Amino acid sequence: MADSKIIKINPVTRIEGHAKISLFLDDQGGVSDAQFHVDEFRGFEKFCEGRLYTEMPVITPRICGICPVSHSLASAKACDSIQRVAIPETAVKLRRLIQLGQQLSSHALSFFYLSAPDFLLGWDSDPALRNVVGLAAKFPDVARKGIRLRKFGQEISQHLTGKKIHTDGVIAGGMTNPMRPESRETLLKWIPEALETSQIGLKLLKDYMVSHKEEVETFAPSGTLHMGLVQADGTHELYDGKLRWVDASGKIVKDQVNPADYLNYIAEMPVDFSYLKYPYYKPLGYPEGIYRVGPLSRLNVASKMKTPKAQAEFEAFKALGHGRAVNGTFFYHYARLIETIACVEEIEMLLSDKEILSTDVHVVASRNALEGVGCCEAPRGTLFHHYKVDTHGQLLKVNLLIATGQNNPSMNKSVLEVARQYVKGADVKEGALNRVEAAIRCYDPCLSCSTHALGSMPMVLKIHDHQGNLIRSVERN
Amino acid sequence: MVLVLGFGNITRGDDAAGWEVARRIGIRQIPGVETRTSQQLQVELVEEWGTYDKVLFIDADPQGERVIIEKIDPKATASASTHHLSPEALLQLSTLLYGKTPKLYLCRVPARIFDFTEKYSPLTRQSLDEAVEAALEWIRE
Repeated sequence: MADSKIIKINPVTRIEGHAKISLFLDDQGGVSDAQFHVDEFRGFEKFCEGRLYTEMPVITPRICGICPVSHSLASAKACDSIQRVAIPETAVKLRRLIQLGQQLSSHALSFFYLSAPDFLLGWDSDPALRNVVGLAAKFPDVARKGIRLRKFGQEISQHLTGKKIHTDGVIAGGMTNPMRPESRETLLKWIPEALETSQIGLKLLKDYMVSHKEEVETFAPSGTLHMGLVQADGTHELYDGKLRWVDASGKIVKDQVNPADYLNYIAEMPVDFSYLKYPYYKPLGYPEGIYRVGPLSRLNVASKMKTPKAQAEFEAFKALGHGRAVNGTFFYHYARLIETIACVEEIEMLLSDKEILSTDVHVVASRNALEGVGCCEAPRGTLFHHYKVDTHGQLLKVNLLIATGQNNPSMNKSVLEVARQYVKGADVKEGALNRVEAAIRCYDPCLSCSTHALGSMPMVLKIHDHQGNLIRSVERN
Repeated sequence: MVLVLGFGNITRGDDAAGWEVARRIGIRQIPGVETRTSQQLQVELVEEWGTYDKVLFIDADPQGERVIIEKIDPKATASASTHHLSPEALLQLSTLLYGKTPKLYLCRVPARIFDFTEKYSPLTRQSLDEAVEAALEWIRE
């Protein structure tokens, strides 16, 4: 980096959490390298040591305000494993239901609030208005519907646990409470509206994909491996299942791996510019083993969907790859909206199951093992909770492998690709920087909620010359 | 009808101030006053608050020296997202999407410590009673 200029985008706006991007320019003003930094350190793995493992499904949702249910579920599944229990069938259904609600809520947030402003208002539009407020001014009906879709997802959590965020109804051995009949009736009434809004979102995106075909197809298109959970026959799966990897050509690299064996297949490499490590597929090593997780990868590894409307759209998605995996990073948005439709259909399916009202939702057990792994699909990708305990059930070691961490190497790749396409020299236009940020937003990274005290979060662009001197600083509030 | 909403992260020291003030008001069970708490401002709130005449948000203020209640005017902000949705932006959204909006006020409680702790700084601890009194007076107005 001796002869480089540095562009820093700090913090990246409209992603969940805090981060910054550094772009390194060569002498000709081209982008030579890119780094996506996460400067927050949470320390959950360390300070949970010494706690009782059964506390973890209540502690770990605090990691995040967007995907707390995923942490509850992965944690509770790790606890189930330590207890060596099979939880009641209805408890599994309720866990699936609350997971689908969160998935729906998170996907609606990602599309309608964080990404739709780019599509509907324009990449180069006024950054002060290129957000959900600007969207509301120009497309109030879309904004209203997006709000209600997100609300529906959160209502499921509210009905099942009494809380919309940081739920604590998912516990070792099942769920704390059964579902009330009136909750089931209330939630069923939301289905037609939720389905309609999901389809509106999908149509908006597909129209954009047609009108901006070249941009969409060339937006960070390079391939990586993809990983996700699938059922035994390859059906798309969020709560249970086994791990499958496919490569950029769409070929299955490894299938039906028990998530408990994840350490045999996933290794992590620390980097000096970020608290997020670089995970990779161990058998191929780094960088060949870089893999992605999340909606795009889940659809790439799946052979089919569970429900008819999602299946029809899944087939259109698969056709984009012409026999290969769909590798274009932009298509995360497309995959996310297909999953949104799948979520609504599966929620209806579960609510229509009479067993959902059974009161048999919890089994009581003690520690029967010294180790347990819980795994599920969070909105942003595969999530692992791995606990080791002593004979008293106190945690000796905690390992949390989180979706955004697994996407970290490929996020760097995507930023570099987009920056090389749009950034030429230090005098870069705001719209080009927004595209660099958008490469990150495709992954919908969740860098964790910290504190939310009063105060603004400005977007700061800093450009340094090769000697480290600040030559340009731009801030927008 | 009046809504009092305290928000913040209760595992982050003084950031819990909004929750605590709302909780202390809630236990008084004042007729016509609904109290709520939340980790953060949720955009879904704008769909519901047409039923309220006035709304008071209570939040921790890292720059504050004393308790202040101020009226909020609608304003779009560049950082509008669910994690960083300001009261001004929420009001702006509400105005754009639903027309009818309540009178919105913000109670700022001085705050200094945002580490992983469930303890308050001396300044915030001293300010909690003052904030409760200010909020009760605001309710009576």
